[in-house]
Amino acid sequence: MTIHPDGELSSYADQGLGPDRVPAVAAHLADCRRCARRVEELRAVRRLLAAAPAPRPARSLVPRLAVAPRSPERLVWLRPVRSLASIGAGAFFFLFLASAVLQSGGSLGGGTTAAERAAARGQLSAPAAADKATNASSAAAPAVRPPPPAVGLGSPAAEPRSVPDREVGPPPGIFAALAVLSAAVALTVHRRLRRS
Amino acid sequence: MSRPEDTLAAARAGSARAFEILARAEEGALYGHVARILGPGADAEDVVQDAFLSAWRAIGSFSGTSFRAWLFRIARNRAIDVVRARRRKGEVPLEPDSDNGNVDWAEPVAGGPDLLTLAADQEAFAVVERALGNVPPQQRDALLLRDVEGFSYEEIALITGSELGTVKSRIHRARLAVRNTLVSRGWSGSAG
Repeated sequence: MTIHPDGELSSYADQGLGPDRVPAVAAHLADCRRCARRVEELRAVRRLLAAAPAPRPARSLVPRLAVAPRSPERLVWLRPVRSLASIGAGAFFFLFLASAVLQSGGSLGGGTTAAERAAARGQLSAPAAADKATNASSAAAPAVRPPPPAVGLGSPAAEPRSVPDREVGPPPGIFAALAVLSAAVALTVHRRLRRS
Repeated sequence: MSRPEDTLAAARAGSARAFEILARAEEGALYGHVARILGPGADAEDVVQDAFLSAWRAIGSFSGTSFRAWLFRIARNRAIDVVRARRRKGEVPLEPDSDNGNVDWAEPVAGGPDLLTLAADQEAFAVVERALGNVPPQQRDALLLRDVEGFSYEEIALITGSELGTVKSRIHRARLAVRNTLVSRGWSGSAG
């Protein structure tokens, strides 16, 4: 009874059969028309498969790697940056508020009086304001009225003058700008980490 | 960067542009292969895109010689994972994955069209696609890697992570199944 090497015919057709089996199968094919025909059929199927049009993608499937991080692990160092930037934004905002309060509070409770502030605004002349201030501060304890100043209304000294603001640190605008900048950095880093 | 090995070296060094060149060269074949395992559509597209991203992230550790085989390995592994997930969900019926057992040879009907006639008919390709659809995924995968993509048996063994004997068996059984389908459609079996 002839044993046909059916299970080896595909490998033989592909030249993928082990070298120890090739001579035996080749010898069989030389004598067996049935197996030789089947080898040709399998080769024909192979050609048909190779010629069949493959499905094509409807869109490009290659991701835009130029903007994608190669490895998310490489961005671990950005995490503390995000945290520091967030903390910095909060701290600068606090400093902004504190600075703004000090700037306004410095003129209210820093030893100046309403009369001085009015003088600073130019509503009263300096002597009149000083006079009014003296009256206000010594209302409860009568004292010798100080002599009027030598200069009067209309003198150059009576011109409205500006009182320089008390120096309490950098202007609040700087802290506000730093707060916005820190928040922007934190947001940018956060988005970058999310993309990864 | 004109030579493929230079492009691969650049990609391994971190050049996204070089990797995109390599990926675009394989995009169509990779999708065609995955689409014939999963069916054309969103799943196949997702698998290919995911495979590209995974390859990009791991290309620094790629030490083989065939970038193409490596890419196919990543994609087909993901495709087979999707097949298994579908089976678990019951979306596709369980298919025999055994590579053992005999497959009968259908006998061609005398007087039917030969291969040249069949190949000239676009309908034949549709028959082939339907025949492939009836082949178990792992056998289909091996057959396509051999007959369509032209990988050697040894490369297919590496890509699929299978023994060489298993690869030969899968290819033979799948090819025979396609042949039998064609024969059942009246193919005379002539080699053309």
